[in-house]
Order: sequence, then C-alpha cells, then structure tokens
Amino acid sequence: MQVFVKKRMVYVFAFLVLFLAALSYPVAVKAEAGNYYLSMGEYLSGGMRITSLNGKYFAMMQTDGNFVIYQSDTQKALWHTNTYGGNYTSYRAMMQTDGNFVVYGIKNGAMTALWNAGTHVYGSGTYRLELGDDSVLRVKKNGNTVWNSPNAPINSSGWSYMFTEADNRYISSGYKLSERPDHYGIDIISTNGYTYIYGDAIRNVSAGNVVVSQALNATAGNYVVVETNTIDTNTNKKIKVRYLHMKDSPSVTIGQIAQGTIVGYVGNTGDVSPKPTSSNPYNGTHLHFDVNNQGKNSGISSADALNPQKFFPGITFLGKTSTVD
Amino acid sequence: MKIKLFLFTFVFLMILSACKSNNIQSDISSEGVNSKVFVMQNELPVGGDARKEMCTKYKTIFYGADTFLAEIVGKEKFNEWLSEFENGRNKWECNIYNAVRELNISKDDFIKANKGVSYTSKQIDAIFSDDEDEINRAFVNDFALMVDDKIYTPDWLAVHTMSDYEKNGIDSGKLKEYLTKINTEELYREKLSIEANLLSKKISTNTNVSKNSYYEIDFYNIPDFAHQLVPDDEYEKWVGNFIVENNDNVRNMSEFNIVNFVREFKIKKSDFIKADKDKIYSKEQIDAIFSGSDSEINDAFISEERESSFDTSSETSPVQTASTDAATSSEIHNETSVTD
Repeated sequence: MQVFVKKRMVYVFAFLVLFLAALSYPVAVKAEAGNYYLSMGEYLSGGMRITSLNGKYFAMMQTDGNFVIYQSDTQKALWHTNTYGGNYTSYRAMMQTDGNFVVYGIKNGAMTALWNAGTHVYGSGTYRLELGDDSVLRVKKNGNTVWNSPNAPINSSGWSYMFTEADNRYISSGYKLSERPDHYGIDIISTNGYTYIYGDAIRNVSAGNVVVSQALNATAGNYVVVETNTIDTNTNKKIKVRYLHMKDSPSVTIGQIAQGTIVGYVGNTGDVSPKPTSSNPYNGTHLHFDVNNQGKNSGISSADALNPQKFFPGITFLGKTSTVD
Repeated sequence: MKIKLFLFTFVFLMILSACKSNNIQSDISSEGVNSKVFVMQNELPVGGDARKEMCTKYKTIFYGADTFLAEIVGKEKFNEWLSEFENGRNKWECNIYNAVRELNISKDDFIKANKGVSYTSKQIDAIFSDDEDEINRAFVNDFALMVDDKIYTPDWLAVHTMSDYEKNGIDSGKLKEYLTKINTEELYREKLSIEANLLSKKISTNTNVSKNSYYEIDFYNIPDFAHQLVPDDEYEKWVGNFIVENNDNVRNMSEFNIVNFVREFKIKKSDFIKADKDKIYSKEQIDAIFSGSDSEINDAFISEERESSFDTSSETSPVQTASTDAATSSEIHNETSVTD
C-alpha cells in the first residue's frame, strides 16, 4: 500500500513537472495580420512576421537568419540585426522570459544566439516586443521602453518627456536665442517658479547607455550623459543627451538605461546663475538638458547641437522657447 | 433606534469631512504660500554655458568624480569625500586625479568599474601616472592650444600678449593654426583678441575678424605697451578675473577691453600716449578711451561692418542703445547688455 502511494506521488510530481515545463516552453506565434507584438516566451520562426497596428511596417524573421524591419508598401528595409549568412538550418527571434530579445540560429537541435538586445539586465518583470506605428521595434518592461531599434525619425523618435509634473515646462533659457546664442540646450524650470522644480525626479528620455555619470563637476555639477539608441540620419551617430546641475549624485551609473529610469533630481550644482547663497539656497535651480548628434560628452559647439524642443512634439513649452534648428 | 443610528452616523461623517477639509486648508497655507516663496524672479536660473566648457584646460570629464567610484569604495566613503567640497573645499579640486588618490583606488579596480565606457585606456594610464605632462596629453580640451605638453586655454591666450606668448614658446605659426581650430561662435571674442595680438606684430593681415563684434578688434585687446604700464603681478591678478578655470565668479570676456583696463588701473592719458610708440590707437580713439563717454567710444571703435549693417536711427541700433545706457552706467557696457 505504502509503495503504491509513493508511486502515485511520483506520477503526480512528474505530471506537474511536465505540465509546468509545457507552460514555460516557447510558443511559436502565428503570422496573423494585426499581431504587432510578442509576449514573453513567444517567438517567430523563419518566414514569420509581426506587423504594426497601422499596417505600415512589419518585422520579419527571415529564413536567411536576418531579422528585418520593413516598410510595407515599398518593402524598404529600415533596420536589421545583420545576422544573415550563417550555416544554420533554421532561425528564431524570441522574446524570452528573462526579458531578453534574441535571434537564434539552430542546427542539429542546438541553438546559438546570434544577436540580442541585452534587455535581460533589467531584471524580472513583464516584457513585450512591440512594433510601433512609427516603425520602431521596442522591448518594453511593464509598459516602459528598455530598448528600441535605432531607426526612429528624430521628430517621432518616441522620446518621453523627462518630467511627469505638468508644470515643469517653462524654459528659462532657450536654445540658441539671440540673448544667449551659445546656449545649446534648454534650461527648464516650473511655470510656478524655479523653487517648485527643486528635487523633482528627472526621467531618462530614451533608452540607451549611460556613458558619463559624475558628481560635483566644476561646470556641469552632478550630471549624466546618455548615448541613446536613436541614430541621427545626418551624422549616422547615436544621439547623446545630457542632464546637468542635478541636486545629488546621479541615481544611475554607467551601463544600459531604460527610458523612464530616474537619472537624478533637479538641483543647482555646478556653474549656475544666479548662484545659490546661504540666504537663498535654491538660487539657480533648473535642469539644463541638451542634445547632440556628434557623439560628444562635453564641449558641444553650435554645429553639434540639436534643438531639444523638437524631440518632444507633444509638449507645449512656455517661456523662452526656440524654433531654431 | 434606526433613525438615531442614522443621525449619529450622519453627524459623525459631517464632522469627519469638516476635519478633512480643514487639513487641506492648513496644508495650502503652510506649504503652498509660506515655504515656497516666489513667482517668476527677474533673474531666471540658467546654466550649461558652452563657452565655459571650452575654456578649461582639460575635457569636462576630468573635473568631477564618477559615480562608479562608489562601487569600488562604497557609497559612504564616496559621499564623505564629496562632502568636503560641499563644505568649502575648492570645487575645482574635485577631479578624477584627486579622487583616485584620496580614495585609494587601484588601477585594476578603476579599469573594471569603468567598463571601457567613460575613460579611454590612455586617460586611465595618465590618471595613475603622476605625470602632469601625460595627464595634459590625455585630457587636453579640444579647444585648447598645447605646446610642448603645456596647455594654453583660449581665455588665457586672449588676455595675454605677444611677449607672453614668446616667453612661453608659443610661436605665431602655432597660433595661426590654432585660430582655425577655435573658429567657433562661442570663442569669437577670444579669437578676436588673439588675432589682434598677431596683427600688432604684423603677423596676421586678417581684417575680417571683427564681423561678430560691435567694436574693432583693437578695443578688445590689451597691447604689449599697455601691459607694460602696470606691474606684472597686478596685471596677472586682473586678467585672472577673466579666466574660467579655478574661478567661481569669472568676468564676462567682453569686459576685457582697453577702456576697462585704462579705467581700472587708472592709467594717465599722457603715459598711454607716450607708451603707444607704434601708434596702435588713433588720436580719436585715445581721446575716446579717456573720455568716459560711451557714445564717443562707440564713434571711435564701432566696427565698420556693424555700422553699415545697422540703421543708426532705428531703435534696435546697438550704437543708440549703448549711448542711452551710458547715461546710467559708470562702466562700459558689455555686448550682452547692449543687445538686451
């Protein structure tokens, strides 16, 4: 009797293991029209695709091993993983349960990773690979972009504004305005005054890599430089953004960074004007934010800079706004 | 009984809601009005000055402490070190060279934490070298001039003269080459001043340098003869006000001009005329310098290109604005205030 019970427990246990294994086993997604994303554990085999909701773009796992984003009407390739030409019998593009999006080559049952987005570093959460109506492929964790394909046009690059507070949109010093022509960024304060923005969280505008994160720099104060995944089509370089004069040491250090991650808090460190004093320690509080397409971390000149306002078409800025390119 | 219970509940809820609204009101009065002073002030907060980043000896990254150092020594030790600068230590001493030494960071740990991202291997070698020349070579600012491993910033070059250049082994060939390198809008005033030095020795014949300036280039230059009218140490102290590095209250470069020089050092007109043996300044210009009148200065020094590009009768004319401002100011106006 005891032996029988033990056997039954073994069967139940084995069944549970198999059941759980089956649940976690990757499922091939059918190439249905309107299927614009892959959930965790789903993958595309050779010849399968996902299509943006507006139907204008599709991303395909090709039978030659390359994973490519195409414009539907012209069949123009917009971006690819450059993974073609390998000696494999089949291929998969998989949104893994660990958060990484990976292209595999398969031969004799063995899977070799050929390319990956590196998004597993963001830890556990609910991940999804989505092809947007703007042609950009994004890996999102809990709804926030942690990686995007670098084929976004600048004005619709999908950047998110760095503040969630609706009043942090007043520009106290604008981009290349005549009163300060060598100011190549925007200085942002609150419409209620600058003290209101002090200590507000600054969220990274676009996924990429933190390349500099420094405390108490003599000119920039506490600051962060992010090399975004957005490539400038004129220079063919990744666009860099800088967040200057933050309150405390930056909240992030070098390495990958997702869109929406807090980089630091608004302050008045470094070379700001007016200077903070003991009677007014909030003097000079603002966020200086600049954008350049020459891969520069500092010493940005007129020819390197881009108007930051243009990256946030949905934001209505007030104060010293600029339309200069 | 039921009615009593209902009434009791009703009254209780009313009292509760009244208390809640009182709380909200008191929040508004204490925080919304009192602690957060301010509407828009006259002087709006600004920062991110491109020119200042160009006028330091080294690239910007040299002058701070990277947060990855905290991964090596621990957040507590890192923050303790940073607090020295919040408590009065010179902020320019918060740099990567001092950080690795004072936090006892090894080169191996630094290389690992850097992940090949923020610093190049040449820069890391230099940080750990104890050799100033090597640091100079690895971190030299893209907008600085380097001669024999020594760095000269654009603002230093702008406030010094040909004889200072010669003393430091900076020859005119290097300077001419350098001028093409700083041909940027941000450094036009520095370029103007260096060009004036070259012109004074007839080394440059470039007469096209004043296009960005309201005044001719002689206005923005202190020639050798004038420099010699004051003791070297006093002159160095004065020009130090215009140098970005190690200076928290740097003066605007437009205030580095012959009129302010004469006024601030109280130079006598007769001494000035006597010293100007090469007749760098015309009689009209010398009269203007010593006149105390901004309108006379404008007349004597206004750049020809500027003059022709503005209708002097128009309200936007810089000449008129400067003249109007002169009535209320004891000091010569810089160009920022002129354009404002």
